[in-house]
Amino acid sequence: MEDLQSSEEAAFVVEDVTNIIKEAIEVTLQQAAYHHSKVGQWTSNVVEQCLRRLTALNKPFKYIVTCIIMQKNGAGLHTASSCYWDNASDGSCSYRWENKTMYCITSVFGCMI
Amino acid sequence: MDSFTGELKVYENTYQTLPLPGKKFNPEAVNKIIQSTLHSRLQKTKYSAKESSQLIQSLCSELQKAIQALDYDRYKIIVQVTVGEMLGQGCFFGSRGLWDTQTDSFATYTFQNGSLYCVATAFAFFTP
Repeated sequence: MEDLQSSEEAAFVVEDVTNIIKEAIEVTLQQAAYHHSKVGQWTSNVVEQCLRRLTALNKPFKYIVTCIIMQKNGAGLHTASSCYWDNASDGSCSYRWENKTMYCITSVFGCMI
Repeated sequence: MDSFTGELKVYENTYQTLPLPGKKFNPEAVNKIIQSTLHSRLQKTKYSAKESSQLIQSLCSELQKAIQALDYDRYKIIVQVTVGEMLGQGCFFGSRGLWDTQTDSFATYTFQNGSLYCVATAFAFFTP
């Protein structure tokens, strides 16, 4: 029974990670208008906040967090990913956020050690 | 459901905590593969909203197969491809990894022509 519990706790929980991403983006970008000089700072903030909170989950995982911030211009954007890993333990999640001037797409990939 | 009737092989632990010499993920080699794949597939491609999603999915699997062919043992590989239309908008890509710097790494390449840009990144995690 203990083994079952520990494997559930150590799994990649998509809901928790999606919440983490959502909060990191809202804290950084809420009510901001796209500005090319600030984008770098925003992307770093979102990604670093996500990583800090993911680390705080204390799970035996390696993470990659990617963030794309794009100005709203009518241009199209497509993203895809392909992962070679263990489906039982590893996972990914993606969150799309927008306001009047920009889109932000953040993805987290987690691989169990 | 068929039951397994053959001999079940049980392998002993290898106690391998680092990649074997010569089998460590080489970002430069993978960079070259990504570069040549993107150039050959996208040189004459124009951005199209309908075809882009299929295009990047096939690019993703092609890159994944090419990296598998390099035979990095015990590595988990994640390939991410993004394609966007060139309309003069501002765009910024950022990523961070929480990993073991001794064994894990990434390779990336950005391609652009008159109508589209494409960013392809491959991340590799060693699993001891």
